[in-house]
Amino acid sequence: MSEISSSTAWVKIDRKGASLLITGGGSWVATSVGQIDESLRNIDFSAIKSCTINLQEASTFDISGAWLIERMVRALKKLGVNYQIQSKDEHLNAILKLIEKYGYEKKIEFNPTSPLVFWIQDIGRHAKKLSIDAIGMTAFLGQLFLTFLVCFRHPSKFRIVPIVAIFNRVGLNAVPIISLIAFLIGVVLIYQGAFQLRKFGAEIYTVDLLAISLLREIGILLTAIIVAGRSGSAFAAQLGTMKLNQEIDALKTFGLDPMEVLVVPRVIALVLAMPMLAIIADFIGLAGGAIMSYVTLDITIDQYLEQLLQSFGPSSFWIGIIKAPVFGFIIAMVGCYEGMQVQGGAVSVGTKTTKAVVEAIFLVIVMDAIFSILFTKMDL
Amino acid sequence: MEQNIITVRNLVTRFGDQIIHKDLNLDVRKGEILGIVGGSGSGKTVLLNTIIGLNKQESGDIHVFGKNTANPDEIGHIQARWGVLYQQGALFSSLTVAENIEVPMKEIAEIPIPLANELVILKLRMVGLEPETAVKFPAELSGGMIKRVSLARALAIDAELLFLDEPTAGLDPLSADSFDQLIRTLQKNLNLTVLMVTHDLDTILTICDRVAVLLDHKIIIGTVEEIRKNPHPWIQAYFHGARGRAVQVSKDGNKG
Repeated sequence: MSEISSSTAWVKIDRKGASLLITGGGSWVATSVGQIDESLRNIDFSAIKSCTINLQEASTFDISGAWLIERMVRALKKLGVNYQIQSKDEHLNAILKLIEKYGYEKKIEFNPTSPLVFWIQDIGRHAKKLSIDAIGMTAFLGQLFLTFLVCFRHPSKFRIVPIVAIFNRVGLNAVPIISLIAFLIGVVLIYQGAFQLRKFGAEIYTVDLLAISLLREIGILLTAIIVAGRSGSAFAAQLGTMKLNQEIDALKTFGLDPMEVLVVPRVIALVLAMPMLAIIADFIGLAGGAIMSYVTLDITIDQYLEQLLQSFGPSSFWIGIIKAPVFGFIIAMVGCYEGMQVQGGAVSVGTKTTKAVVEAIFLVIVMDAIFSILFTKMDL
Repeated sequence: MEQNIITVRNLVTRFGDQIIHKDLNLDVRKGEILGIVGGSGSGKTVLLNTIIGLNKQESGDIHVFGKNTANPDEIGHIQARWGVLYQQGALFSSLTVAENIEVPMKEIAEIPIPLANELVILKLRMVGLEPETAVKFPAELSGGMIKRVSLARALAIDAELLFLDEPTAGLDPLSADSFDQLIRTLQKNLNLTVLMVTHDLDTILTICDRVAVLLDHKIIIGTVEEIRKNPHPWIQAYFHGARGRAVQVSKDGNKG
């Protein structure tokens, strides 16, 4: 047996008038055919009357090597040229006989479209997909509401154990990372705010800045973005893999509604978890602000609390928190919807998970803008 | 003297407390088709995975082509000479059929693309698929087609040693039969050595030169005839149970 790295093949092409002599040597195997493919491919058989392929010096052949001979034989047969193959390898004849049967004339286009055409087509495909997605998600939303209605009429259909398990995963397990990020945001806002307001001698209002921005917007938005990245993606990947494994089909054949078994518990768990996480984010963010105020602005904790209580009414707090369950609903629904759209293979799980996160964040921010307009109209 | 392609000596594998193989010995001779059978959970796939280096053994030596698979310097050379057909096909889902088959051609053998494209068509025809399949993605193929493409990929650079994990599972009897014949034809013409895990009695009786039965963490090996005479109750039940008899009757009928 020859070593992989050391297999070499060679050919010599001699043309004498209308007769052609092709001499080949070495081992004609997959790892070496690349060395002789070019020279054999470029032979012009058109003016040839007879051809001899001398392979006396070649020792080993496999299918790849034999194919190079078969390719020449096909060309020679087509032109009606007399040919002769000289070889001492008894395997070669067997292999040639084997692959002779598998002739194929038609040309296969491996890369049918040019990149530019493909790119233009891609725009159309995306537009079409977008509209299908919009309809699909609306339908999913309707189906989800119907399932909720059924569950409310038969409360035993609410599955408590999965809800608690999912709540633990998406809610309690997210507390450390949300706390850390909220703390850092509190620190950053105080630091940056103080830097700007110092020019006006209004450093104490940094506290107001932090309180209002954190409670009304940043606390909840940040929580929603982290949860979308953490749990929305997890929902999509999990349901997507279940779909690929036909687990969803198995549920359906048992007469179980995947909507009821898989989607509703996730939605409920996240709707419950989001307000909890938002409240935690608010408090920890304010705590981070307190520490930073003490360190950089020399505001004592007492002063900080006093300023804090003056700066906002209860509505600021509730305006933030009231958005939380809505955002939780959006994230869970989009995650589950994209998970259910998975088909084909592993690539699909990846793209749908990405879509779940991007769409969830996008919809959360759109919803936040709508809330913002509503609250302004309501003078809150 | 016959040359051994694979030798396994005193192999021990375990997952946690569960012993899978204990002092297992196995020789695979050059140019033979060896079938591994055994009950569900007896460690057939684990044995295959251990030989190809996907699973680490607790102790014992495995030599393939006379080289120790535990040696990281040597396994690269061995890997270029074997092809593996996985139970689920394991095609790369983001690549087309042609690209899947071209992976070993480009990465290991460095075959230029025009030649690789020609060889893809040839290999697809050999495993009984239409060349039009080349531009499809694995998700668009049926189970049997995935098996065939996977075999084409295992054969892409003309491996000398083939590992097949349940090659005919999930195929209809006609497809399974043509799959068997294909493996037999390739093995004869290319002097392949084939090690296959299978449950398919038809496959064992039709194309396997020898059978290895995994029982009680060890292997009992022999020709089909020798194994059938073994008094071990599991073997008796396996070859002389209702299914075994039915297959045997139809085989004898065909011969007569």
